[in-house]
Amino acid sequence: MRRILIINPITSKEFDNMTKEYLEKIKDPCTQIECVSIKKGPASIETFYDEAFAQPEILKIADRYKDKCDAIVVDCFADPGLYAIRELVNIPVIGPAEASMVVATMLGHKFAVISTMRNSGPWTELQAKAYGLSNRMAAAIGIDIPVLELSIDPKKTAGYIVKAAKEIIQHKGAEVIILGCTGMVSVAEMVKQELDVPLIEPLATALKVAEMMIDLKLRHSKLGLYMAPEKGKIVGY
Amino acid sequence: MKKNILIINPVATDKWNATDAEYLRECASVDAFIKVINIEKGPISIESFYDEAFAVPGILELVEENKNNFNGIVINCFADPGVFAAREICCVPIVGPGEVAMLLASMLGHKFSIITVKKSAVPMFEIKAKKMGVEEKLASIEYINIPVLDLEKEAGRTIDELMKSINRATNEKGAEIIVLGCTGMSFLYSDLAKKINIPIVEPAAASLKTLETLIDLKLSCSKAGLFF
Repeated sequence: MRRILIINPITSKEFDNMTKEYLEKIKDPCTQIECVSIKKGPASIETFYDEAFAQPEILKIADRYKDKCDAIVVDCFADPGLYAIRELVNIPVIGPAEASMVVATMLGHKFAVISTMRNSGPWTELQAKAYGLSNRMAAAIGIDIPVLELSIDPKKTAGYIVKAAKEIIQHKGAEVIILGCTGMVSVAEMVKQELDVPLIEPLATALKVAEMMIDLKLRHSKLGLYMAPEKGKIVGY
Repeated sequence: MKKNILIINPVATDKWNATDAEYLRECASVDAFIKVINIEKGPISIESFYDEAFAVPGILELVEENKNNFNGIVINCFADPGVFAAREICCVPIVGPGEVAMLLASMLGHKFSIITVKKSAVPMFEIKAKKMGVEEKLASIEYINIPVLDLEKEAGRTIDELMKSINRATNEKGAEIIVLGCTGMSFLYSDLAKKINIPIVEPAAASLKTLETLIDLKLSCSKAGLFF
């Protein structure tokens, strides 16, 4: 039995039920998932400022659960705290953005990421560079709908995503589309129906990659980039 | 989800089919059915572009014959022979161990090294990493100078040489993860994993599990650009 911890790095309750229900359907029968949300911090992550306040809480949750699970998924496309959690724990830690980009790379020459606000375009470009896959990314753009408003009018959200995707496929050489926010789960199926290229939903992808890493008994190397942190150094938390 | 998976050994010998099937069935999920077949005509191992060129037509024939009976196909050689061409004629996901192993390794740390069989494979895999766009994550490519067909015969020496290469990669080249650069090394994986404490990506198992992941996620190759 694999036990996977899903850290929801936002304080908004908006996605809690949806996430759990969705992942229960996607997980392997031999996987148990537990979803835990941060208690203090941003309602959604859309800026570096938001991310900064989410990270300490994410790390505290990871620390608390690290011996009770076999892998951790951080449920946000910004992959907040990804590298820091990897320093802290000895199990696979999967970020939806990294996992989606890696999987997309196997499906076509170039992928595009369609995300929420306009800043997510350049932000995703930086992520692709860090992950070493920027030359496989055709474009990254936002549709100018904030995370917490994505589900207000799902048809409108799906429509904006489809429009952006079609343009990028036609003019920028994208062959695979990645939804650039794990809050887009609710519109993924609608978008998929309208596109004739593979659509990657990052949360499901991160979960399945986590299962795979567990099965392959792989974990992050501690030889270079991810050094075990000196926890005693942190004061006041 | 029930998955029918075809493993194509792109070599003109059936000598590895049974052991590969046994090894991969152990890695597979309970609902995966694994069948291993080999090409009839072509090289008995792939170690050069010349070998690869003669392997690909046979691979494509097998893909054509079997594509409607399987949910996904692994072409079981680190050189990923015929993977792109197979994607052109097929709607189910096709994965290559080389591609998969490098991509999974890139999630496990900053840089990985590939340990392969012969010196000639070094530039070959450098080109491969460039084509995939992951060359910045590649610390080095090391070789053990033992041909594919001798790996098992000389298992003791193979392990010794692998250990030397791994030490060179991690101590001198900045590797944080080791990728085994030949699917014929899978029989050594568990012994090796016991000896060293850094992640080792074994490409045959990695490609099988990745294929299962793609099938579960209902993903297959795009036909909007590269794969016509």
